[in-house]
Amino acid sequence: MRRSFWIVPILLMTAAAAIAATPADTIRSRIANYRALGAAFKTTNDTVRAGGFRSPALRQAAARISAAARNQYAWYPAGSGPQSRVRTAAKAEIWTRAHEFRAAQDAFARQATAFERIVASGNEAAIRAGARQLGASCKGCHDSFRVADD
Amino acid sequence: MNTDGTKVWDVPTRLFHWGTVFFFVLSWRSAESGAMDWHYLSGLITLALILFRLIWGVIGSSTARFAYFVRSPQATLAYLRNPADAPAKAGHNPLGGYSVSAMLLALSVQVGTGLLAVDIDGLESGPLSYLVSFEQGRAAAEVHEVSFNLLLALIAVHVLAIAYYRIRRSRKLVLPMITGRDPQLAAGSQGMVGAGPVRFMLAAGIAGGLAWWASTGLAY
Repeated sequence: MRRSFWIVPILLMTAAAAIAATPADTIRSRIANYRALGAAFKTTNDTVRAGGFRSPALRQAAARISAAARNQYAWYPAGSGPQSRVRTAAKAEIWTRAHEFRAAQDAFARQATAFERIVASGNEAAIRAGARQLGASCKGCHDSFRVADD
Repeated sequence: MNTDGTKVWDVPTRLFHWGTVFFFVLSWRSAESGAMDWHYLSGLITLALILFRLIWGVIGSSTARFAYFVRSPQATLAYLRNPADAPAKAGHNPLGGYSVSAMLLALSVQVGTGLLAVDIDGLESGPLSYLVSFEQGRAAAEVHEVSFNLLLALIAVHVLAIAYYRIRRSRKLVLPMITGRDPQLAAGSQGMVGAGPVRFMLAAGIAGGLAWWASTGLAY
C-alpha cells in the first residue's frame, strides 16, 4: 500500500528528468548503463566458466541483465543519435528502422527473462547454452545498430 | 640443405621466425572471419613462440641474444653513416636489431592484450579476462587492435628493408633465415655460437608450459 503511493511521484520525476535531459546526458547515462550491462554479462560468463552455476553472483548478474533488458526501451529517445553531435556508437538506423530495432530489443528482453529463469533452475547445460544465446542477442543488435569498433 | 657459408641462425630461431609468420597470418585471418576457436589456439601458440624467443634472447645461440644484437645508438649511427658492404659479423645489423626488438615488443603486447581482451557482445574473451573488469577488458581489446596495426606497419618496414637490401645492396637476407647459413659474410667473419639441446629443451619447456598454463586461466 505504502509502496504504491510512491509510484506516481517517481514516475512523474522520471518523466520530468527525461524531458529535462539533454542528448549529452542521455548518451552519457546510456553508455553507463551499457557498461554496467557489459560488466554483469562478464560476471555471468566468468562465473559460468568457473563452474559457479548456483552462486549468488550469477543470480544477481542475471537479475541485473534482465532489469537492463526491461529498461533499455527508454534509452533511445529521439534526438540521442549521431545527429546530436555527441560521441555515440548508436547508429541512425535505430530511429530510421525503428521496427527492426524494436524487434531486436524484444529479442534481448525475451532472452534475458528466459536466462534469469534458467539460472534459477540451476541446470548447468541450460545455463551454458543460455549465456551463449544471450550473447548472440547482444551481437544481433550490435551488428545492425551499433558502430563497429573492432 | 645448403652447407655453403657461415652459420648465422640456429634451428630454433628459424623455426620461431617462420612459425611466427604462419601463426600471425592464421591469427589475423581467423579473427577477420570470426573463427574465434582458431584465433585462441593460434594466439596461444604465438604466446608460446614469443615466450620461447624472449628466453632464447637471453640463454640462446649468440645471434639470437639481445645482448648480441641490441647495439648502442652510437654504433647504430655509425652503421647508418657507413654501412659495410660485406658484413663481418653474423646476424642482425645494428638497425635490424632495433627492428626485431620493436616487432618482438609489439607482438608481446599483441598476445598479452589478447589474453585479457573482452568483446563488446560478451561472447568472446581471452583466457585471463576473468582477472580484469569489463572496462579493463575492453581497453585491452582496443590496445589489441592498435598493436595489430602497429605490427602490420613494423612487418611492412621489415619486408621493405629486406627488399631494399636485396635490390640496392645485393644482400640476400631471406635465404639465411631458411638455411641458417650466410654465404655473403666476409671471409673469416665471426659466426654463430650455438646453445645446445639442453638450453633449447629448457626454453621450450618453460615457454610451452607457461602458454598452456595461461590457456587454463592460470589454474592451480
